[in-house]
Amino acid sequence: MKHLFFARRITTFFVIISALFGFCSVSASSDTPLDQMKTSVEKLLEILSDDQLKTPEMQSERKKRVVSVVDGIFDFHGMARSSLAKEWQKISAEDQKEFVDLFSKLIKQRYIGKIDAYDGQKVVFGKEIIRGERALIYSTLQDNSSSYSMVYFLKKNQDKWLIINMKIENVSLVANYRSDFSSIIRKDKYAGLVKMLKDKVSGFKESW
Amino acid sequence: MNIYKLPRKNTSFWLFTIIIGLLLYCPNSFATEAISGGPENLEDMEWLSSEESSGGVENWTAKDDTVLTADPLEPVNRLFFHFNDKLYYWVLKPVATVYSKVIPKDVRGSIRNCFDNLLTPVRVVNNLLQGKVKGTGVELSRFVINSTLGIYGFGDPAVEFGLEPQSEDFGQTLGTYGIGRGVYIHWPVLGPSNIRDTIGLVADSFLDPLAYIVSSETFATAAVYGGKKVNEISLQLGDYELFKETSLDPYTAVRDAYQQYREGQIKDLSSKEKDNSKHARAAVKMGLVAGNYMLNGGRSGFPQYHEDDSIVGESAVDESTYFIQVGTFSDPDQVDKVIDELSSIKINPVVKVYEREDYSIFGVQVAAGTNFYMAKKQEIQLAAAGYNGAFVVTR
Repeated sequence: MKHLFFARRITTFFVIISALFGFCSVSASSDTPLDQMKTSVEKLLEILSDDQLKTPEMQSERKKRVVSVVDGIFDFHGMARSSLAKEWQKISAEDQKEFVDLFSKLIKQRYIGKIDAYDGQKVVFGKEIIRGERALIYSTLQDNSSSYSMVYFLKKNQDKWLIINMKIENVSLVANYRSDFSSIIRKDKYAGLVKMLKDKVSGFKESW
Repeated sequence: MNIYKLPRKNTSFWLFTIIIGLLLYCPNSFATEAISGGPENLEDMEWLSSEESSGGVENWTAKDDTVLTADPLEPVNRLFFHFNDKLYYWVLKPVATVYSKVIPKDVRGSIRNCFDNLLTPVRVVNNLLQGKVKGTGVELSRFVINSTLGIYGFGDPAVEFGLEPQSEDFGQTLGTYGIGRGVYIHWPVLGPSNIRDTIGLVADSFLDPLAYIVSSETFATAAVYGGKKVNEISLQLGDYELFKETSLDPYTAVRDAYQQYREGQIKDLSSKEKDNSKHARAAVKMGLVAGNYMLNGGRSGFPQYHEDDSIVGESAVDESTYFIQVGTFSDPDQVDKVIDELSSIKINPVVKVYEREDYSIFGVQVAAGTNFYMAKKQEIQLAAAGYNGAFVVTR
């Protein structure tokens, strides 16, 4: 029955953004990563609860605004770079740019794809630990009677803290993609990876 | 009251006392710890203090290569992965979809709770095997509360008491004993596993009451386990699809996620606090006080206090057994700030330094005497003063 327990943990991957919505009380923004994250969450909540944006003709506008907030929280460039590991240095600057774009679409599909499925999950932010340009934020996601641990890894980028990785129940997002990508690269080289990524992304019903 | 009139030989009385004791002890010690966040993973802390790596590529896992090479059964595993995939799309998903339309979500959640409750023996035994006294107590308390208040385990009121499930299985127990995970195996129907966890699964099945209830009839066994699986899947429809859709090689992604997830479980990274001997000591103390209460013929076994709440006969700070951890900080300035705040309300904290490889973490603590109950009382007072994360620790 282990598979079941495991499958339930996998579930947490997909409620991450809903998780972000769970936190309500936000005070004035200041410099700590936790405060910045709370501010972004408040913005997201505002967009999602805006009745004017819920009409079918405003869907693209709503999506655009959500993406603009999410783009401000995640360091997709850094995440993409780490997920490619050694391969990153071998590809050209244009290829790197293209890869970041494809990778960010993949992440957004996994994490924002479930945006409308938000179902009352709650997030309790725990402690934050800051060391220089790096920070960790601990939080717990509560879903029905289950709770899951989430750790955000942030890096300071020109006075702004950006998420460069997260671990849900100890499963690291970037490490998971890294092993996924490297198994493809070993077989089909980088070209094969990009081709697969393009196929995946173009296959999404709605792209973020 | 005469001590000899106490119902000392009445087993149900003692059982009741023990259960009440567990119930009293566990929620209290849990409630205030929830805020402190998870225990720190050493790898995460290392990342936090590491220097910028070349080209900005973060090495998120040092075990990449070992994870990749430990899959000699890959061709067979992929076959079974494919089989499970088809089983999901052709059988389980259609059944679960219909089931989820007929049975409301709450009911399905209750059914899952009931199945979980039945697995209490597995969790209790494995908590014990890992020396987790507190976890064992929490699981026993959960079983008592959920089987009674929760009506045969369909509800989970124990969570309201701050009793979170303590998920432990024999695979994890073997892991904590230092046994490696061995070759990765993707079983048909059961899904991702490895040698160690498979041994664990077999061992745990002897503690699964369900196996004994239905094992006499093959059809009934299949029906019950099938029903359990369908119920589980009905609560997470769409998740597997999205995971598969957003990974390039779903087999590798599942394998990697499974290994990482199990490592985290073995290290207890998701639980709120490490279960260790301090809880054993607190439980023993609890037992002593309860025993004292009995021997005193119903009179309080609690120590006597002065008017200012200090304990008669024991008050020196430097002899304190219990301390209240107000918070942990990596920034010395923050430590100074908290010390100033505490001083302003006439509390004199001490700072405990946790040495890490190339940095330190400062724990601001307040001495709380040698009595667990007094320490708890002070913890509540501190919480009332705004220090929500305060909790009792021992030295």
